[in-house]
Amino acid sequence: MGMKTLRTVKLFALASGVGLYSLCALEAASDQASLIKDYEERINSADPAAADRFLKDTVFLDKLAVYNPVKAADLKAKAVAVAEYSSLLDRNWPDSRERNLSEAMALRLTAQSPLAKVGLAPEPEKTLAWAAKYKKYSASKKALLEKAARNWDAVFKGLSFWPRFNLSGVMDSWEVSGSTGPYFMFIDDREVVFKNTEAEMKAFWATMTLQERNNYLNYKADSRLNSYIENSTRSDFSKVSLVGSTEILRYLDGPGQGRLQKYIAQMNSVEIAKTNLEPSQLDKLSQQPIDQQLYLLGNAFDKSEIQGSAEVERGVDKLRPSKPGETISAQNNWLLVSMLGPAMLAEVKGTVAGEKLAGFYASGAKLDLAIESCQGCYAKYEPSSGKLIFDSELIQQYMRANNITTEILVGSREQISLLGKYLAPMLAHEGTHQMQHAWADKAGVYKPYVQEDEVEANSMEALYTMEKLKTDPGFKSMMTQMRYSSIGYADKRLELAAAFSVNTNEFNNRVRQVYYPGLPSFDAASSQILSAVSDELSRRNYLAAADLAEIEGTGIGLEEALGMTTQELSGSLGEIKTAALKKIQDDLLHSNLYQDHYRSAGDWTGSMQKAVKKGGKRSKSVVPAL
Amino acid sequence: MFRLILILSMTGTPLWAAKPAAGVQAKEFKSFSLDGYFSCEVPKKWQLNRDTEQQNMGVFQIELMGPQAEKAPVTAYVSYFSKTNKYFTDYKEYVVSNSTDELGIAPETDKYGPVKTMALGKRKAFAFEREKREHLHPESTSDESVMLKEKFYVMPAKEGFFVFHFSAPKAVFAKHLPVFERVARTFKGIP
Repeated sequence: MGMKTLRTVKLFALASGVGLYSLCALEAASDQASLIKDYEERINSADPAAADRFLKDTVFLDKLAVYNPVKAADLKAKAVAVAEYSSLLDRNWPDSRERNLSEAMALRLTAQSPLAKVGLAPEPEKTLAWAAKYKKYSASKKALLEKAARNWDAVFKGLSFWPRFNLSGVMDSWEVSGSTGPYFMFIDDREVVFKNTEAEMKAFWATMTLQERNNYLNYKADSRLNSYIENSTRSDFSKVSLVGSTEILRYLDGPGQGRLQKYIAQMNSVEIAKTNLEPSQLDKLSQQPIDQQLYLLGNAFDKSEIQGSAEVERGVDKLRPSKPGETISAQNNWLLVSMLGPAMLAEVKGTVAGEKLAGFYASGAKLDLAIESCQGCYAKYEPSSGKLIFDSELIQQYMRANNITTEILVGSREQISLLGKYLAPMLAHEGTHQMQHAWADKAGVYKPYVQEDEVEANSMEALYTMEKLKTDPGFKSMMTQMRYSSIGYADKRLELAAAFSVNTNEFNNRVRQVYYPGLPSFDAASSQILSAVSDELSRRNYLAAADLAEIEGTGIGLEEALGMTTQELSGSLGEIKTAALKKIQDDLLHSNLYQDHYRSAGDWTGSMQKAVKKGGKRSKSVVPAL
Repeated sequence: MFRLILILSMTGTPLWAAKPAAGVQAKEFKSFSLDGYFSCEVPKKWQLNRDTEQQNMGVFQIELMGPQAEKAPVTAYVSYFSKTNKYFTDYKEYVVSNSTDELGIAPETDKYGPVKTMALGKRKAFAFEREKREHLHPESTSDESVMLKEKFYVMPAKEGFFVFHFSAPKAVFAKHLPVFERVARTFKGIP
């Protein structure tokens, strides 16, 4: 036993309250030291079984926290990260959710992550080697992981690289294509991935993080989709098949996938509507991009120039671009926003979820609405500006489906109330996110965005919708009718309410596993931040006095740091003042505060679900006697 | 004490258990017991999660996640709803809620099968199936959805009730159903 180890053992024995010179105590402490060493070695090599065992060994963890709090915090952060990542990958990811898995992995495989400290990040290929060592995944699961890691061989499997030259004979791109079908992509000489040989490109690819790989592939996919949308005039079955099978489009991100699905739906809608057209009408559509064809079809339906079914017209109206009267000018936007807020608050009153929201806004919180493009979502709360943004396209779609212009909308209180009724479920959802931030502000703590936030927001939205469906026939009628006139919005609100109403006990898991699989849980997010903050604080011990003084003088203060997202915080650690970092560290170490908050929110929505169900009419029993 | 005796008796395959479901091997399962509320065999290869969050709401449940399937996971829940659970007054309310379009909003694609009575082991239970479409991204404009098929067994108990809930994408429902059936048929719970 070396002097250092002996000293460690003695200290541990002392901290454990055991007589230092008792042989038994010394042996026990020696065992503990050996256990620490074992845990340290195994967790530092990302052993998931050891991480799990360490986290469950609460007695040992408590002792270690007394004896060596720094080591305890460090090991715990690493163990939580390894256990959470292991559990994430263990889930049964279907092939169709490869993108979600990839995004979830990318969030975790950063250079600042505790996974980097145990040799699992940032290079995505490290995950493959780790899985081979510690997991017994099937061949199909291994293949899925390789694809999700955007491994070069998995992405470019079966594809050939053909050099392409400009008119001067200089190579300016690589065409990447298979033996059949359309090209996969062009790698342009203006892109960082471009190199003179395939081997060089592969070597460069290996140095890219998963986030960078996903960004690049999404960029290439987005360019291809834009090219289809802007240039293609065909809507026939073979064109739809071609778009649907274009391999690179698999790499579109969430909003991109939404655009792709809308484009395919637009082509289908045009093709169906065309069956009602005369040859002269078909001529007018030819050579026009698909959204322009839909626009012209919408005009023709309005002027009764086409004799199609109401269903076909609804399909066109749902997907066509807005006409001038249906777009929202800056002035009308301002008017609409000023009227919509009070209309929605009036709408939600009288429901349990609505009263909670109304109480929140009545207590001084500001309902600061904005109508603008939400980039692939229906609505969102933006913590940095405090704005609650509703998607302008969703509102324009509502106007088209109900055959009203913006002028009619802003000129009628009744129409505004109806729009408020339609959008109110999203106020319940996004308003809950605003309440979560207000809670953190009031408690003066840092709050990462985690799965628990979405469980609460989705529960609140579903609780609200469920109660309105039971008590407001106008709401029910509107939502069931709009199911066929909106791209998913009304349908999804109804589905969510139904799922919450009948299987509330499974709802949390559904939200975590199906709706937000890539979002980290509170445990995962806090361990990642804690680890990065601890590292930064340690680094500062060795900083030159001048550098430290600069951070303390001009660095980011507590207020700004508390408003940062997890990604912003991780990327700005070196610029945040030490006191602010210590405050955030202290916040996250007291996880009970957050867990109590989420537990209390879950208890409330769960209890209210029963109250709302009891308040409504019971269905006639279909339960036979046993 | 009663619960202790019950736990001690919860080992091995119960004498009254129905024939194992066709298509599954006993060696692919292991015994599991949840705090004296129930025991059953669970598939070794499926991921078992204990949902401790739900205990605050008076529901004691496990979630079993099956092999990957198209778009949505294959899942099975075994739950004990205590008398004081915060969701359902009794088993009848649960059956009504889950076997009918209680909110009156289901699209034409959703289907609800009849509620039948049956014996699960030595105990009487209700059985029913339903099919429903589910969108995968409620908050984003993506329209991706999956058609789910589900099966339920609801078993009354003296002070609560048990629920066995199996959910899978319709295309793979029949393939994984035998696993769920074995879980249900090896079940033993408090009276």
